[in-house]
Amino acid sequence: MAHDVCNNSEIMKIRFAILVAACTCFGTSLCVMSMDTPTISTEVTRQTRNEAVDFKNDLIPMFTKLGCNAGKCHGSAIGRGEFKLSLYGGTPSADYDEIVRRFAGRRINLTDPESSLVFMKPAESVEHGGGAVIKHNDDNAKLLITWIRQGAKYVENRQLKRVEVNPNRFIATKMGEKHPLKVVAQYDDGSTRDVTNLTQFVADDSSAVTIDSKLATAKIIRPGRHIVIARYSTEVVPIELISPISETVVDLSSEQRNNFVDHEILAAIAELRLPVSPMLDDPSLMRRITLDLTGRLPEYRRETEVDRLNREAVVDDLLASEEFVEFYTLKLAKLLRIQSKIDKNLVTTTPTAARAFHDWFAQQLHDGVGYDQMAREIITATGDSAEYGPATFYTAVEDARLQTEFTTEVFMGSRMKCANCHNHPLDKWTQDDFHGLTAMFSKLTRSQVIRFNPLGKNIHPNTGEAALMKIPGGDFLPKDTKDGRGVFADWLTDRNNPYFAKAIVNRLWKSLMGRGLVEPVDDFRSTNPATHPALLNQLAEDFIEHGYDIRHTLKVIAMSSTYARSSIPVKGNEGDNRFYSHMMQRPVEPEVLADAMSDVLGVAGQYGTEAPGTRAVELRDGAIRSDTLDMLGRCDRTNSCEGAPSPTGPLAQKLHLFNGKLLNSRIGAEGGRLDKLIKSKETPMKIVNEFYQAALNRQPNTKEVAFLAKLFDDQKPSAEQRDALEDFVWSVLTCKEFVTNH
Amino acid sequence: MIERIKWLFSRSAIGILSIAIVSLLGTSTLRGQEPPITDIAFAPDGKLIVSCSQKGLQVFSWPELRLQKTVEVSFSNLHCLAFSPDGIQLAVVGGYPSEEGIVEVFSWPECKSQVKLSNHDDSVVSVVWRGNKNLVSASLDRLLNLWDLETQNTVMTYQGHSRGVSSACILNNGELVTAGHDQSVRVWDGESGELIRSLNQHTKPVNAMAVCPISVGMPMVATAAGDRTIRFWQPTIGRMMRYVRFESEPLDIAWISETRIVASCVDGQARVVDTENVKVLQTIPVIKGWAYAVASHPNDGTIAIAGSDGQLHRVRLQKSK
Repeated sequence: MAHDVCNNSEIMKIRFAILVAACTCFGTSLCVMSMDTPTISTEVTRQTRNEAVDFKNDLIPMFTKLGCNAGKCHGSAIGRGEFKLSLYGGTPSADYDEIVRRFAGRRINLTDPESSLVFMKPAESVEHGGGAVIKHNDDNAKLLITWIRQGAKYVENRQLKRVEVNPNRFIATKMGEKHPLKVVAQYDDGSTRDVTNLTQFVADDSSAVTIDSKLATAKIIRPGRHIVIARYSTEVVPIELISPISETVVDLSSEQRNNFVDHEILAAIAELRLPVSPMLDDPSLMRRITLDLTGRLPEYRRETEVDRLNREAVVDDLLASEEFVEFYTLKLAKLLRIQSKIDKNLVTTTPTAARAFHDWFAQQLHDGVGYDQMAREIITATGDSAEYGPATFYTAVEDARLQTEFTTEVFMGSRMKCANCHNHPLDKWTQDDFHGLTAMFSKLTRSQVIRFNPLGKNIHPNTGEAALMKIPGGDFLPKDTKDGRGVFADWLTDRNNPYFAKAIVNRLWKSLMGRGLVEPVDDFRSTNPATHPALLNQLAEDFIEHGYDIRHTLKVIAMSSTYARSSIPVKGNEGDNRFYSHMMQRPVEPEVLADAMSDVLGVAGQYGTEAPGTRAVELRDGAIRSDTLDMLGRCDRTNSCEGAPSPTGPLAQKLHLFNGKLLNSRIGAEGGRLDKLIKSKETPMKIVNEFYQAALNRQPNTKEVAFLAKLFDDQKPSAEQRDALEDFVWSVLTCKEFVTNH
Repeated sequence: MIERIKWLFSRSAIGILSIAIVSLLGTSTLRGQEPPITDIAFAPDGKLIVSCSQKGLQVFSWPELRLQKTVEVSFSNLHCLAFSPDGIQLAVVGGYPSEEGIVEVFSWPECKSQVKLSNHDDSVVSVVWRGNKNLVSASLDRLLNLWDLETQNTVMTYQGHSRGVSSACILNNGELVTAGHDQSVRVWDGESGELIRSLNQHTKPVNAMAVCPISVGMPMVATAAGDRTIRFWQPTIGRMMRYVRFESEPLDIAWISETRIVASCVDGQARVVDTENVKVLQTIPVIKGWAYAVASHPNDGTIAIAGSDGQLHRVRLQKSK
């Protein structure tokens, strides 16, 4: 046999064929004679002498590394050039059929391997849209030809257990140095193998890290923390590269550490050699805490002001308030997309149902019910949504597949929707996971009354048959399972569940800190690691230990010194937007901003047909009409509300604030704060001080006083300076200090 | 080893004994080529069967499955073969993937190459005779060519499929029916080349097509597709009559009689279908791998199946009730 192959090679008189043929005959490493050059030493990438090329562990990773099965090439949903591969080799058996079996095996030529289409295309011996991705004498070509010569068989010599990347995290001492990366695969038979040359490395930010795929090295070209994704076969591993911002070590020994949050945050800051901003002054911290926990300006509870802020007492007080319940009900209502929708083409949520769900959340928060219990009740809900709020969860989206996407985003912080069409390319989710969960939700009727429907089914796109119920990443449920949601809820809220607690504490963290430890907050996956993984774990464990108590976790964060840091950068940490060396400035939510404007102006807003004086954060239905909220950028709850808001706000919002009726018609309104102050004959500077306190929770500083004193004449009645005062109030309500929590 | 098995089978006593044993089980197998067999066709007299693969043409006796001869073809990727109506010519098609589609016509039974036609940019995967002097080639380059064998020129090109064309057949009224990877079945005026209609019920690429051998009434064709269905059509009026869905994708089909059709499938099984009530009558495991080709013997009630295992299989079917 071997003799025949070698003879064929001689006849062909092609140097390449001789190389390959010789490799095939003798297995691993060898030296062969070339027709053109005296001697060429070549090493065929094989793990064991005489072992067949492993389709799953050799060929598929090679296609991945070459980009053949990427989304922009043959891995796209419809393939390319009538050749479709599974995305990043997620389904090797299907890829084998596509390469070897489809079109009567025309892509493989067993009698003349070099004439195989699967070789000629990437070698660009025939026209190829992707150009030449292999060379006739490179290792990839040899591997491919050897495999065909061996009969193009589906061989899986061993099962991949995991891959180890070394290093998976390192701190560079110098910019611009090349750092070698090594990937070792571990198999079920106990063997290991260096698969670096079959691993694809991709930098998350190519402007920060460059990869030399041939030499398997990474070079940091911009300071900071960066992620490189290593992909081998079905395994995807993130590599964390850190290049300190500064060359000087920072001394953080005197920084206050109130709890584990500070320990973790300061440790990362020290690694990056970032200087930290100072602590906030008490009035500003009071404004921050009050806005974050109640969605209100601190003025409403002015009676609690003390010379020295007792932060713990204030936090406890705020967390126990009804305003906290209102505000966090709003946040959960946005997360759960609670709003009425009545459209003959859509699943209906009546206003009564939307309000019932909103009220249910308010009651749960008021009663201090654990988040795990809330989630369980929502997931297993059935009944009349007009009477039983949680049932409204199943009318928020249109069908069972969207319900799977919605549910996993909300409760697992995981975007599973890719797995609708193909195994998730960047995560562990398979189509079986997606459609197995969808199978549970497909057994529900979606109308005002949510009922169990035993005939409901979800057709798996791969099989054309009804999908079996399955726990994501876990087992299929027994075929006779009727309603699988209870099992799913058990799994989800189990204390060992790796997603549930992290997803919510990450959202709570973002609520107070402006950025999730994992960002976006609904995109947890191994390839999108947390900026502070240990902190995320501790927050989640602490949350579980304390009965999934939202208030507890909010308090832990609010009590940290990290939370109390100024938002004003110091020299050296200006570029930090994820390590909390200074607090992030973030826009105040539209509902909170609308209420704050109303409070400062002393003129209540009007929302739909709600009773006058109703606050925006109290609205029980996200669909209640309000031009004010729309102008301020209210989230349309038909989709996720968790996109990062623009730091400057949309243009339309700015224009409305500058010229629109939103402010102009209300600043000087009769009965408003300004009108009352003018009528009470307060001096202009007193009015100025009053608005500073109400809006910014502080008095104007010396510079501001000097500037404002030139605009107003305290000797003249305020009524004669009304226009100037209105302009002043407008400037307060549109300044960055007012429209952001900072 | 493989050669040795072939040699053993070609030796009468053991070979006949082996065939006798497997015949008792309903199927017999000739172990042979490594490359997949992509098509098979019975010679008009039913005493020989021809297979094509990357090794060329191979002629076997039937039912003994003894290799009679191997015929070299001028190109390496062979996809389809068809005997001329007068039975004295054999057309073989294929080509070089993504480069050239070729039709080569051999004399039968001598197997001497007579004509080689090339005017496609990709492999030709199906061929159908129109009389004894014309044939239509269907190619993955999305085109069909009508050839005049005397002049060796393309008489007409049928253009309209948006992806590769997988199969073609000609009706008694001269209309050409084609099917392709664009999931469509198209009916053409054979003379003018105009597209008459396009039938779009399939939801995945169509793999094969076969005309029902009925003598009266409107012509009927069956198509096999990646949507796991066999659909039955009256193409002259553009009507899909009925369909049957399998558990596995059918790759090729052959009519056994006016009311029975057999399909070879991706799971290596043959499925026999009653075409009137579209019920699967028989499911027969034949090969391990994809069964690319099926052919129904003209008169002995058996079928031949071949596919990715590179072997030719004879299958005896249950008699229809």
